[in-house]
Amino acid sequence: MRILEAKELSVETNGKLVVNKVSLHVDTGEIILLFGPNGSGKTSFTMALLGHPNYKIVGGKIYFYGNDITAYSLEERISLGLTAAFQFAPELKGIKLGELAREIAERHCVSEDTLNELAKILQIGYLLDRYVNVGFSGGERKRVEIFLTALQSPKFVVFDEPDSGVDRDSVVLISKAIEKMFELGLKGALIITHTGFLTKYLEASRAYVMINRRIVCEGPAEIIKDHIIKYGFNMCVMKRSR
Amino acid sequence: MSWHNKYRELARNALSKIPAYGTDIDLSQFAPKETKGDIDLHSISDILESVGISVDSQNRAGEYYQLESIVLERLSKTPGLEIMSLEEALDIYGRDLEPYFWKAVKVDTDKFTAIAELAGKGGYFIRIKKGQRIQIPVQTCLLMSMDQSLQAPHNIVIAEEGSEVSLITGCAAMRETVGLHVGVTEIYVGRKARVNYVMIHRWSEAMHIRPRMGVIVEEGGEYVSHYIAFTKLKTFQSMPRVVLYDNARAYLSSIIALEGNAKADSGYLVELKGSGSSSEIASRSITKDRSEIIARAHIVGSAPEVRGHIDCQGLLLSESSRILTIPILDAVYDNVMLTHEAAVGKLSEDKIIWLMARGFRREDAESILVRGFLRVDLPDLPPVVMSMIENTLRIIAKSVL
Ligand SMILES: Nc1ncnc2c1ncn2[C@@H]1O[C@H](COP(=O)(O)OP(=O)(O)OP(=O)(O)O)[C@@H](O)[C@H]1O
Ligand SMILES: [Mg+2]
Repeated sequence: MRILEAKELSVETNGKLVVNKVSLHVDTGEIILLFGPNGSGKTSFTMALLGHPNYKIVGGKIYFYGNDITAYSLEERISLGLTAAFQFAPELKGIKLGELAREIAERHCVSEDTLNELAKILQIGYLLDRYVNVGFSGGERKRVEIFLTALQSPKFVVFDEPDSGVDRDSVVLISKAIEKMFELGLKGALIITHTGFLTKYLEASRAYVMINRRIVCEGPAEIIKDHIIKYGFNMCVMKRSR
Repeated sequence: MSWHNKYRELARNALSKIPAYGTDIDLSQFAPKETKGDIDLHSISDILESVGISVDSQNRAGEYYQLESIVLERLSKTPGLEIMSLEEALDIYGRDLEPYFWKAVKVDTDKFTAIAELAGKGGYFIRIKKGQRIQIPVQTCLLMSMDQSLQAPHNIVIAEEGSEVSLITGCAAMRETVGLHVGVTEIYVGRKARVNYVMIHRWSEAMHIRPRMGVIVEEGGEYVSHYIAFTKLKTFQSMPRVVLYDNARAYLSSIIALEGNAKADSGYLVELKGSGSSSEIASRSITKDRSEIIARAHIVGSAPEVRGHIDCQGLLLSESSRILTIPILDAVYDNVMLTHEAAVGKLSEDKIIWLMARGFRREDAESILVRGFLRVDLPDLPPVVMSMIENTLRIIAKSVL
């Protein structure tokens, strides 16, 4: 079953085209990778999927479980179980991580036990008494973002660079947490990554490569990953133009 | 009481003295009111609770209630703690009170201190005996309910050497009234004593509020003050002056949330006069509708090794409201460390969107952010006081949006 599908999606922000006719889909049980150089439009695409009001869809459609949600608001999309773990989550001074986590969990009927289990998997228990992201290290922020996203028990998540700036041990923790999310009801995921490190522990089926606002190639995750690691992004451009 | 005449004379001469800050007020519109009859405090317990006053609480070391110019009740439930009205204290102690009478606040500061001396009635006199450490709070409550009323109590708090006390002062209007409240409060924190002072205000739309406050903290003493005003009002101006001697410390915070056409000019003046003294001023201002807040903070460091820090944050919740922060650091000695941080703005749209992505509705996301904004890291306070403050802030965060 097709969970998410973007068809020829074009997005503008601040009057500038940042995503150009992107088509991509994720089926039940799939983990899909999205590669692409800095500034190619990956985060912009994610924000448009979420329904961020500053990212205007100027062409194409988004389908979620077969329904056209292109005109849905952010709030409506989130309530369907679609969300994203942000590349850069904000600092919330004055709000303790533990308090916020409990509020999110309660709202989504996630039990205290599950909360504790996720905190354990991601090793963030010692951060619960601190203000959200204030003074957290890069790796701590990434783990906390996965933690809070998991507490929503979403159906579909775009993980925007969950493995960037994260040490090898933390990559393991994050993969375990994503695995746990599938146990808790996650049906599919799109993982934006520069390294593909996570695929050592999580099985990704396919991968897309985005360059200069467009998807330039698509294929089995392992093959695409190996090519990018060996040859960089050039090979994709060539393949496309041939 | 001839010694007293001197202060009356000074007051008479200051009756038309324009205040240094804030809107001037024509005093002739207001007069003290002596209300008649019994009022049942239980019937207004919800108003009282919103300003931290608990009618039936066993968790209070003592109480003082004043409605308009009438002292309704004063009661100490704790040994070593004296509570009475200022008139009673003057009767009993006479001239012995002079060292604490108009010393932390000058009687001729402006027309408001003058009118308090000349026309004011009541006010609490609270003394904590040497070495007494009282863990549950004393509550004092000043209520107004009549039009054209002037309420101008003169409060004096004396914490003797090595003592400790927490005071909760709740001031409220029981209904929509046009009135002027000038509370004069002098606090004397003795050597190695500690006073925690929490004041919560809730007024009505047409009221003018002019607290006049002075605090003197002797060597090694500590003063913690937390002012919370979530309120309608017409105008507010207050600038408590806190003087610190050797190794004394003060933590001064205020949270002011205004709506309607309210205008406030609020701040603290701290004088670090003793070596090793230190102070922190934290303010949080929130404006809605067309309200305006001027948030001042002024620290003067004039002794060796003093430290002072100002943290002023403002949050605008409407297009036509205004917040002006004025931090002033004045070092008149070379070996001092004075710093400040300030920020004024709206709620961050990025943070709202991120919270919405975590499953909150927009209103809930905003109220979470307001709650975070209101949280200042208070130094250790007794648990009863802490939970009262947290409760009040939760109410504000919910209703401010
Ligand atoms: N709100 C915005 N205003 C102006 N330009 C924007 C905005 N958002 C994105 N852009 C621009 O759009 C382009 C794509 O940015 P985006 O963040 O989507 O890239 P990315 O592929 O996620 O990059 P990275 O790998 O560095 O995270 C960039 O040139 C960026 O500067
Ligand atoms: Mg990005």
